[in-house]
Amino acid sequence: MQKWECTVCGWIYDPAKGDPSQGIKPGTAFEDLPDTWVCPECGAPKDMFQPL
Amino acid sequence: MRYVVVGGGVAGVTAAQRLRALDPAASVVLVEAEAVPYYLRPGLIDVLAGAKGLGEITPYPREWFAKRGIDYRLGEAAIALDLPRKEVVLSSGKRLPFDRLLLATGAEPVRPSVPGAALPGVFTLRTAADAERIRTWAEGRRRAVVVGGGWLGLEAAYALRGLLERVVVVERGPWPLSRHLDREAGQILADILSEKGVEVLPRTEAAAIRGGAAVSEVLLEGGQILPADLVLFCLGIRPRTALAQDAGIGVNRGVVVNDFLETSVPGVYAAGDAAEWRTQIFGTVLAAREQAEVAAQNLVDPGSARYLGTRPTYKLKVAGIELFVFGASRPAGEFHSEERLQSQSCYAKLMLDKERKLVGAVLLGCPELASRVEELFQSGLPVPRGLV
Repeated sequence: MQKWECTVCGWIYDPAKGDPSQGIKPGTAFEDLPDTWVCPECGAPKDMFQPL
Repeated sequence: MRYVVVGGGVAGVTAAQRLRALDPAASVVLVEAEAVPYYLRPGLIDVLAGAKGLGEITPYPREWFAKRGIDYRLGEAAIALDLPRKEVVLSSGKRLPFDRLLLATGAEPVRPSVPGAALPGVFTLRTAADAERIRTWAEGRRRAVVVGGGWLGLEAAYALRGLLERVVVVERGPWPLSRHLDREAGQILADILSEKGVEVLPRTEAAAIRGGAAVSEVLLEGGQILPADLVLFCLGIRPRTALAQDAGIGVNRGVVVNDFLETSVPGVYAAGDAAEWRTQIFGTVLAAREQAEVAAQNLVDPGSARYLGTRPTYKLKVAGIELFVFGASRPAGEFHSEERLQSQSCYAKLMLDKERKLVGAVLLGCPELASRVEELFQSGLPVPRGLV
């Protein structure tokens, strides 16, 4: 599955891992993250990510 | 219901969004003293380095807040709390009535107390305006001294190295990041930084800043003199507590909150860098966001959510150096065993309890392994034998 990188802090969203800090289960595609989801490191919203 | 949030950093913005979602009919006012809209503070290093403009780290335009029905008072400072009347007094003289209040006033940099610290060319770094001022000052200048070899000091030093010929970091401790790293990791980090043109001088402090119309040199405790036409103090942060303290709200190092993130005054909550929970001030984006979520729930429905702490994680990425610190990096006698891996380019130390669960970890220069360790840290699963 496609990984996405935060353009502000470089944190990488890996769908295989999800984001436990925001209750995102492993296997969740980036496109399926809720609009309220933000980068756990710096708080950047989804539109500040780019495909890796 | 009227909610007022004082402070528009990550805690304030998160809470305002959350309040709006939880209570669509309520009035939500967000007060921020800075004149520019909310930006992502970790991105300021790139603004300092000139790699990004402020717009590129600004996630939401002003209209974004308006569309969500958040009354965004930008450039207006809260100067007092009138608790008997339940009002926030603004610098303009206006008063904002509230039913429940969140203090997300954040932190400010520790100001240097050494002689000469007020000279032109001496800075601290916290806000967008700071980053832009330092960057402007650096133009046409050659040598910088950064006082303080913590996370911010090292990142800022590396950013400045891209603008200036020589950057020296003065660090009181025995090696950079000495609060987090052991001697081996600290030495590896110092060597890598040195290769990248950032020299760390350990075990010393700035005794005075000297110059005429502007800074020209830094005198160190041992008598050594470092020429400098830019000095940046990165001595850590101090929670902004004056507003709370002046109103009689309980304050220690930060604004003291209970597990509901409520202060000593019912209906008044605190979150983020300003808040002190069980003696801890986290100072991370993740903790600020988690606290803001809990506080917002309690503003809407008092006593409905408890904050249980945020496990500390630190990451430093300066051109090729990937450093991760998870949990207690230097636990004192509270772990059972330690596993290490050390090579020329990688250093890893895992501290485990009796069940091989991670108490803490330090990883330098091994991002793949760090990613595995982070998963184990978050999941709380035992560390497989032979991982390092």
